[in-house]
Amino acid sequence: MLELQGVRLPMGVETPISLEFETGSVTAIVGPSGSGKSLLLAAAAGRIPARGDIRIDGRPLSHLTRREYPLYISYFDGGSPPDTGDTLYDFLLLARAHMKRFLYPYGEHHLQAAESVIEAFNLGEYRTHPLGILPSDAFRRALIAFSVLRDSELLLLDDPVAGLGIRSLGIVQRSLARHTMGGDRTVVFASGDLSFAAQTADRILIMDAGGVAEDIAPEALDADIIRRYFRTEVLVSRNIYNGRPEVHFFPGV
Amino acid sequence: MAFAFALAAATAAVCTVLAVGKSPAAPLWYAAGGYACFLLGRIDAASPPPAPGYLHSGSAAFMSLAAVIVMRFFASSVAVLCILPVFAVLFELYTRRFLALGRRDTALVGFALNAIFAVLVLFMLRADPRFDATALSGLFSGLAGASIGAVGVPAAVIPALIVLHVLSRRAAPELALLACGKTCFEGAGLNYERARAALLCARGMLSSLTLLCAGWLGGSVLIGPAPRGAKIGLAHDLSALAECLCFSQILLLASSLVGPLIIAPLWFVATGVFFYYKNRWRIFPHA
Repeated sequence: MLELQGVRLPMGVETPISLEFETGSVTAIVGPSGSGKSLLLAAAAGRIPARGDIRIDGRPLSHLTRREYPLYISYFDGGSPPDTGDTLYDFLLLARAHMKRFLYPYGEHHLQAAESVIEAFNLGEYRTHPLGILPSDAFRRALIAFSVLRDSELLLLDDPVAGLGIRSLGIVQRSLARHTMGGDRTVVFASGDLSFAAQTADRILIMDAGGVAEDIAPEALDADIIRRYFRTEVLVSRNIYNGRPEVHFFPGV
Repeated sequence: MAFAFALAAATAAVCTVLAVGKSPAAPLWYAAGGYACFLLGRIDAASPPPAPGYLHSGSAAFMSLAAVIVMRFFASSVAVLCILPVFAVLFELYTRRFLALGRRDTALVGFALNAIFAVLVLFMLRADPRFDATALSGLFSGLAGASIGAVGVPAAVIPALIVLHVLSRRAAPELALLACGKTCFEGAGLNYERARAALLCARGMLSSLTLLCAGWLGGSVLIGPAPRGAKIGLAHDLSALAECLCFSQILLLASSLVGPLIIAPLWFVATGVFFYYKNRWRIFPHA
């Protein structure tokens, strides 16, 4: 379980954030641009200094050793690796580097884990392609697959679905659901896509001006809330299969 | 077929070199230099971002400038042998860590250093009557190879390089992870800064070893992209190494027959190959 107690993001505001993320849950952080979504994720990953207490399974984040860190946290900041010359398969295998013994080759179970994530993210046709020449949609999926393959207890994804096509959205949604199915892993992602957040997450946090303004179930997301925090008029319908909200724009408004 | 041809050419080259009166140590020095340059290519592929090699990063020119200056004031080969690894490591730390030059800037700095070196050499040849022009041939064709005739020294260097090669093969996943950048490397629980510093020191040591063993010529043995990735096939790795070693012997022959200034046309050929591979394989839409 991830706990944040009195965390203040370095945004010049003094609103403390106190939250708990239950193990096995999928939480979406949404909010207007500049509201602090990415900063909150980066603070939870220990990548930026933030005042307050952050604990994972009761242990302060700062007490995690370098070796323990990847066992607990996998953080995707939305960036690309500087070198994209490796093949997709080789790149994905690197996600398991923290699990193998130093200077020893990958074990069979690591190779199998890479195979299964390639299948889950529908990347089989690109297995031997250099990462840099993948279509941007597949490249993005590969980066998310890399974070999932780390198999850490807490998966933090910053805007994972930016630029993804409709087919890839479905693939990522199913993969995140499968990732938490065992009940021992937690996913927290920030996204600007309200429909994806509502369809994927068990819980939605709405950020505003560096603080958490709303902590709601996905079903509670409606046009009033969106108008209040995003300052835009939308139409919210319900998905006929699961009853969750789907957000639509008014054309021309 | 290509490998058999290269092997035959290398064997013929070694026989010819020995026949023209070169010491048996010379082919061994070139093999050591070629091997060091091959390992340098392995490290270059892992350095984030992958950077130009020994000749085009200006590493060879910088060390040569240092060697020329030390020789001018101390006139001692031993001083040059001692100072080169230090200068090589300092050059790596300064350009890649302190200045943190990118791929393009490194290539530009390398071009500038090569030009400065050429101008300085031409100036000293014309203006300084005490300047020893034979020292230049040592730089171009291998300082140690030119002055040490004993077979034992290069024969001892090669096993050390083999150990380093085995180690680099074992560390291939970690090296590939390093190429993915700080976030990736630290996300795997490894110390990025320490690993990067170790890699730069290794690069400096291998650069100086290449210059000492095979000079500037040694830097042109890497005619293709170095094997890279988390899993490098043994056959692919060994064939790439064999190509380097064979080519190093052919360069030795060329240097013996034509003279060390063969490096001048070779520099242009290596530059052409460098730009071809960098543009063909390195510039990707997501890079």
